[in-house]
Amino acid sequence: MMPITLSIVSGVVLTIFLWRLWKNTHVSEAGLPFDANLSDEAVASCPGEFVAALFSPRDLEFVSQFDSEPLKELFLRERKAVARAWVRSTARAVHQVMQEHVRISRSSQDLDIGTETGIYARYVALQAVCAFLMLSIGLAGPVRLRHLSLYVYRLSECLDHAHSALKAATETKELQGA
Amino acid sequence: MKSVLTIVSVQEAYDDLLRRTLAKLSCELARLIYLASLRDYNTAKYHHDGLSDRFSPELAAQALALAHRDSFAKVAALPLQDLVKQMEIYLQSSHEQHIDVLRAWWRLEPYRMAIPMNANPTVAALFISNVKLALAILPQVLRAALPCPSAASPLP
Repeated sequence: MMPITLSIVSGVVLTIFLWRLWKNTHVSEAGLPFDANLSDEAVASCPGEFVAALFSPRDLEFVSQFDSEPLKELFLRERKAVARAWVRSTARAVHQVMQEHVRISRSSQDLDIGTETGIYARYVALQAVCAFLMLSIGLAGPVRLRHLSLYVYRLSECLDHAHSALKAATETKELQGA
Repeated sequence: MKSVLTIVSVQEAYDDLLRRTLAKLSCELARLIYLASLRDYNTAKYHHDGLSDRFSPELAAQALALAHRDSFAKVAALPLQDLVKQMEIYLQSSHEQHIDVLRAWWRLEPYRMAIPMNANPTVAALFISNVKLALAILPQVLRAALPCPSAASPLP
């Protein structure tokens, strides 16, 4: 009887924890300065220097000098919201790139299975890491996730380049065929 | 050929703007605020009479938009410590009571208008967040620098 009760309690606690985490993420999305759907450059990736700055410990060290707990809390709250916004926009951009890539691939005559498998594997890995980052930012804070965020940035750039290469090759062939 | 000429002319207008106007402003933040103030609230089009007279309204608008994007990129990339310094310089050059400027910035958030039209949403969010943090830090910095009661009073 005891293990069943323990399992139910654990399940309820885990559900509440995940719900609160989701709610936290959902609320911060509403506070974004822009509706990404209205912006022309919504899918454009954020420059690498900004990603590095966002997850860098430098600003936290500066804020810590003031020895003010409310200031530090404000800093962490602000950085978490911006970091989540970046993860969300990266995941969205990667998804859009992949959608376009699938569309182009369908009409392409000479696909390389190895390259396509690699691109799809990167896409799955990116979405998984983005989901993990979304949850971890709230728990660990952006500074501790610096390496992972830079990994996401580099991987999304790789995916973008691979997609651009296929797009350029397809367009060249279309022009030659016309 | 026409587009090359246009690019050269925009660059000329940009250089002219930089030399005659922007170079005289106290800091990059002041340049950003100034450039944002030249943009129409409704249409997001830029106007500058002097630059329009010397070039054309279209070239002037393009040069102003370019300058605005450049300036925003510089300010948004600043570490928090440097942004606080920029705000300190901006406050000192404004000739207004520091507390009045800080209070207006804190309550009305006019810095949101400093974001260019097609800024990356994450960069824009980072800029807004950094300015908010700088506004929270500034009273403490001013208190340390100047033992002036008006600058040191806490913000609402």
